[in-house]
Amino acid sequence: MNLNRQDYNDAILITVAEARIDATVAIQFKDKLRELTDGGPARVVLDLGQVQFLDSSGLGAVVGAMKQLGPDRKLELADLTPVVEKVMRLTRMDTVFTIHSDRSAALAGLDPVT
Amino acid sequence: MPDTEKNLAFSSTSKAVRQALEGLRADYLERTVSKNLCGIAELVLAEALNDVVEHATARQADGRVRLALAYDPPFLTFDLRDNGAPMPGLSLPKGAPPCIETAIENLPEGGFGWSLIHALAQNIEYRRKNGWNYLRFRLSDDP
Repeated sequence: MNLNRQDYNDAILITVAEARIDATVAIQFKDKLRELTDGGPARVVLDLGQVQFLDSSGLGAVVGAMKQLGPDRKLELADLTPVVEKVMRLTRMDTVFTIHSDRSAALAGLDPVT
Repeated sequence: MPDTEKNLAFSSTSKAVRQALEGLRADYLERTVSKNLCGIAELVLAEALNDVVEHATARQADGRVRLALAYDPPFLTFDLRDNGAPMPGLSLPKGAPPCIETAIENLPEGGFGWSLIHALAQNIEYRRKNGWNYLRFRLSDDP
């Protein structure tokens, strides 16, 4: 499961370098995401620009990932492709997650930490 | 009834389902229907087939699925069958979406599948015959 982490002041950007988040990878996704975000800043932005497909198993994994962060941290989504956007809208999970058009919108004003 | 365009048979495992759907997309859907309808088809099929893998055939080693599709523009009609356990009550899940008006720590992580199917598919029919489940539905571009 290819997830890449970049640190910014007060936020972590996680880029999902996978075409699908589905039943076959849901558990690995949650585990890897927990590994990458444990002990980090409050905001976690998930860049889903490469994810062409996400079904209800994938949605469950993303919800699970958000719950893993705990009540003081926030999981935000960026750059949803058409199928992902459709799933978020039909399940009304677009009212639960903050969704940004892309990573620049999500990270406006933040500097990367090298 | 238009001619069947594609006929697939595969094992009832998550991996085989994923391969079948990726193959169907590349070999047929991508070149035949709009990108939007292609996405809808992949999504509805994934939800219906996940249900087969995780419920109908979960307790058997010989789970098999057959998928047939017909295209009579603007409609894609799918016929799925599996040799798993029957649907509870021999009827389709109603697909009421899980409640999401709740604190984050109580958000559901499952139960969305059938509500997605009902939102995107029309004329959904289920029957049980000779030890097989038969599911048929029709898809078209949403407005």
